[in-house]
Parts: sequence; structure tokens; C-alpha cells
Amino acid sequence: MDEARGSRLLRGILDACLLALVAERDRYGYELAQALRDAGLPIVKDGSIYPLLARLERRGALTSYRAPAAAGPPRRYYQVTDVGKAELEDAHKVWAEVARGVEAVLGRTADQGGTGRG
Amino acid sequence: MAEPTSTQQIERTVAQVQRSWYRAAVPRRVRRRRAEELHAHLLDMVRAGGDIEAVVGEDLELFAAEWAAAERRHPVAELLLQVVASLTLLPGVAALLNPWVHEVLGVSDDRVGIPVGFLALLAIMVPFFTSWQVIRFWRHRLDTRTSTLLTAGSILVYAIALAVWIFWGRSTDELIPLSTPAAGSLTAVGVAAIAISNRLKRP
Repeated sequence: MDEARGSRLLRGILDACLLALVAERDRYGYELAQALRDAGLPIVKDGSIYPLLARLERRGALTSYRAPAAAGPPRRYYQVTDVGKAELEDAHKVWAEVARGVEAVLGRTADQGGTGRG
Repeated sequence: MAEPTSTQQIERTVAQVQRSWYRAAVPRRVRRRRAEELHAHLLDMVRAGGDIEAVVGEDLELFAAEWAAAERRHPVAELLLQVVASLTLLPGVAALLNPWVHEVLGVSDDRVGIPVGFLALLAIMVPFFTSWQVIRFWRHRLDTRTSTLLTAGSILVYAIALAVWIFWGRSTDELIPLSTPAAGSLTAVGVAAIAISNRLKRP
């Protein structure tokens, strides 16, 4: 897989992925990065989630709280808000529309062996 | 358990990122909170057998700048307020202090006003610090080479302008006279601009 293309494509939707993961249950940074990696998403570096989390928190889609860890330093857990839930719902709709459109266009050439010339 | 060397590496990395945030004027409360979060993440990564670079990437300054930019709510307003503060507070204070400075220097001049030489110095310093801030605020959008070139370029221009001021601008005794209330108002506007700028930085 072309990793650079994967990262570029992911950039616009990564915040929605983070919202979706936090909507499942409260999670902290490392858990979020791990969940993205486990899902097979090509994140260039774990730390790239933090500016997104900060922006989501800034616009009220997420809140965070500090909780002690079983081992090591305390962790900052992220929690989705009502604003975040509404944003996630919108993101689902937009993604479904975009994915359908892209599939319709790319699917044409894929059916013809990828060249588009039959 | 993380190895002692890894622990040292983690601490060094977090300290370096914190220094970068400090230079980017990220408020202390935010710096502490984010540093703790980064520290925990790096520790988890090392314990899981990964390396620090997988979290922060190869360019630590860029990583810190990206995060600092995400924390900044109103970068343009912050910058404009800082320019307003520089252009009002410093001339205002200079005008108010002018009689006292002359008394200390043993020269008889009790006029309130802005020394022209000082204004010339401000005309050099304000654009320099503004360009410095622009580079700091938007460092995450520049690659390392561009940001280094811009920084070196602004230092060079500043050094030349400062040399010109030292040789030709400093010695002028001319003064732009101001009434005490006008100088006081300039100072008050500057203080208000700093206060609003600091308020905008708060999370």
C-alpha cells in the first residue's frame, strides 16, 4: 500500500475515527493510537493524534479528565460530548456519501483491469 | 518496566518538547498537562517494545509546533494584539519616563514625549519580533529548511538595521512631544492589549 497516499486520505477523516473510538468508551492517547493501528489505519506517528484531540476538545466535541493508572503516571482519558456525538453522526453521513462516490468512480476502472481502456 | 536509558530518553524528549512549547508561549498549565500526557504515552510505547520516534516522529520541533498550534485558539488576534501592545506601551512608557531619564543622565529636559531615536529602534524591533512570532506560530506549516532560512534571514535584516540605528539613529535628540494624558492613554492601551492577548491564550 502507498503509505503516503494512505496518510493523506486519512488526514481528513482521522478526527471522526478518534470520535468514534472515544464514543465506544473513554480512552487515553496510547489506547487511541493502538486502536487505530489495530484497525490497520496508516498513522505516520502516534503523536499526530494529539493536535486532533486538542482541536476536538477546543470545539467541545470531547472533554478530558485525569485518572490514576494501575502502573505508571496518571492518564488523561477523553470522553465524547453531545456536540461530539452530533459531529460523529454527520461524519458517518459524509463518509458514506464520499465512499459511495469514490467507489462508483474507481470501481469503473477496477472492473476494467485498472487501466480504464478495457 | 522501561529501562533506565529509555526513561532518560523519555524525560529528555518531554523536556525538549516542553522547551519548545515554552518558546511558543503555550500557557504553563497547558504545558504541564500535555507533558504528562506525552510522558505516559512514551512510557507505554517503550514498555510495549516500540520506540520514541514512533510517537513523536523524526522532527521533534515540528511535532511540538503542530501540537502548540492546535492549542492556540486565536493566533492572528494574539499576534495583532502583541503588535498593538509593542506600538503603544513602549512609546507611552518612553514618553512618560523621558523627563526622569534626562534627569538621571544629568540633562535638563522635562518634556513628556517620545524620543525619535527610540521610535527608530522600535521601527526595527517590532517588525523583527513580529516576524519571529509568525515563524513560531506557523512553524508546523514550514519545513525545517524554510523555517531555518526565514529565521536566519530575519536575524540578518535585524542585525543590519540595528547597526544602522547604532551608528546613525541613536544620537538624535529630537522628541515628539506628547501630553501626559496622551502618553498615559498609550500606555493603558498597551497594557489592555497584553491583558486581552493573555486571556486569549488561556484554555
